[in-house]
Amino acid sequence: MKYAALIFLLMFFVACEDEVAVPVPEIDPDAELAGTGALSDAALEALEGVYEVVDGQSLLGREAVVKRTGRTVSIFTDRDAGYCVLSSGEADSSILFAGYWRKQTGTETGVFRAQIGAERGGRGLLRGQRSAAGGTIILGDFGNATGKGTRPIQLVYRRPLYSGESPFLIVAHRAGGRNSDQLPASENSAELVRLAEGFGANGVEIDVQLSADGVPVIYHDADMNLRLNEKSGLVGSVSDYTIAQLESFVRLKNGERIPTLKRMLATILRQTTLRFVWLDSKASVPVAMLREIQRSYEDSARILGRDLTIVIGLPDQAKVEELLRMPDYRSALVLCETDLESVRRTDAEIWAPRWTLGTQNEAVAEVQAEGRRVITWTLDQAEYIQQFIRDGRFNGILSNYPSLVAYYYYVQ
Amino acid sequence: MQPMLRHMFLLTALLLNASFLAAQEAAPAIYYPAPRAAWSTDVSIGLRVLTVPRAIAEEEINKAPAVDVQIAMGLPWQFAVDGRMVLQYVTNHFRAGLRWTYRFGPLSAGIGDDAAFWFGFFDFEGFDNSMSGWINYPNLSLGWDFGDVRLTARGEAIYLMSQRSLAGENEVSSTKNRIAGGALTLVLEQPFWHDTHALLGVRLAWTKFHYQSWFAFSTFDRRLLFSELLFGLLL
Repeated sequence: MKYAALIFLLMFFVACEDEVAVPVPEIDPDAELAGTGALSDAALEALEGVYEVVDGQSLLGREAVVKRTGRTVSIFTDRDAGYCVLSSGEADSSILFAGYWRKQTGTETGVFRAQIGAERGGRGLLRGQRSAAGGTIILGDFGNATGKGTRPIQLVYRRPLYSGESPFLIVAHRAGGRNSDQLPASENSAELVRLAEGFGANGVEIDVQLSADGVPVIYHDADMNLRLNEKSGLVGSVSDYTIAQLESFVRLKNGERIPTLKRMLATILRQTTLRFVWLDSKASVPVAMLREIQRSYEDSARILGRDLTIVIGLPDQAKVEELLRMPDYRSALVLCETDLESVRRTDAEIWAPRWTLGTQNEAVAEVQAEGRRVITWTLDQAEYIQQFIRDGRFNGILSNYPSLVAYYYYVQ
Repeated sequence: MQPMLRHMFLLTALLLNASFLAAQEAAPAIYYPAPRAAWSTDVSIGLRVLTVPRAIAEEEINKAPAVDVQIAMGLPWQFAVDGRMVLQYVTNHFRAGLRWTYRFGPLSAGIGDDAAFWFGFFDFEGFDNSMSGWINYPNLSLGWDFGDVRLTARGEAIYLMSQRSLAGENEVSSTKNRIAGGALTLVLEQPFWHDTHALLGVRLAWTKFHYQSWFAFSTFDRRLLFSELLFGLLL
């Protein structure tokens, strides 16, 4: 066994693995668009559509979706789960865009600049007039992360985005995506939830744990670990530490604080136009406590005139039984991940089966006939996203790749 | 899947039987790429434990142990055939290939190509999935004979030929035909206990896809490190 040491040394070496963040490219949209005016809501909505990609197919494939996403404009493609997140402005009857692109299945990213000239559809769009096919042309270029190696972009408007009978929920997992996808902000952070709409989401799922002093906080795993946060010296369960300790000593992977549930909901309410929040209740957090917070933020949304639905997720039978022990459980909007019997017993607003069970069209139709919605989770594979949207009957999809869900939904 | 399990059992029995029939002229070896006598056969039975990268496994269990049965048989003109079964119930991998070997002093070298079929299935706890695929492994080996101990380094490319998956009633097929990555295996083959021999090794795969992590349905189009610890008894 004299060479065993060599092998074990190698094993120790390979045990050290870490993710490298993908930095957002060196572009300042505010500086790029200095001197331009903000686009009206009507103009932002008028430029939405499915565009043919004439130049730039290496980035955007043959067809791309242009969609207003909150105050940004995004472009979605099926190529490498790619997307562009762009700021916009108007000047001299033209529309200008500046921002970044990212291929989410890999680590490629870069800068993106484009415009719609006044005579290429810009003037009409600024009046809120949708163009006919071929009437809007987006011209620009994209380069690498430092803006070099630029290649041309030309997109030509072809048709409006698909719109079903009822709004389709594109729910971003963990407030926008996983750390392993190397996004600009950490999973389950307030910083990421502000970016989620740019990725194509109109809803988010967040994971709720309880601190030692009874404050609900957003963190995925039960135990603190280096997948989710920087080295802090704290070990063990999140629930072993008070909120003061968590806020003082723990920084998420990209340096953010662990948000409390209230801070996260306030961010969603006031700094986004997201319309759906799924509170994934982890074992430590009482459902009754989530119900109180849900009620409070439903009231706030109503006062602000915000269309925002907050649902309490019941991931297992223990949480189902916990809800049923509450005297007023029927007043809570809940999402049940378990079987259909539990969906009916809890009078859940939403049934959320795991995607690996397939489209289950008969069961989905049965539940929808009872006035409930069905969202499947967590669907990330491009081929299956396309298939589930085409062949399934779901009211929404939870994904780490909301841009892909948006692409396949809107190009229908 | 019952017929498949029956076939796996039969193949295992055949491999075991072959080991007893084989005439052993030298210390047994599976990896060491020295030319072996025609029709001489060595078999190893053991375990391999895969560590799935955190990016895929997250907080779930990231160690995947599997039974590992390997066979090497000499052919005329310094050729040899290799066979390997990695069995784990939810994921199973069958691999066979041909290699040509050459010895110069204590050093030996081999060049070969293996083809593998794998399949996995999961039907519980909210899963109703199966997946299968074909993989090609062109490989090069270099071995050093220290006397009792033989050290072998084997490098191989991982070429995905096709894959097919099923979620519930939904089926997706995709022909990848692309290089997913490569792997380096370092193995020691040496005396173990009394007259027995053993192999101990590590395989480091730098790849976009590893069949044993299929049920995670990874979406990453980037290479991650999958390490495996190998242990086998040479029969």
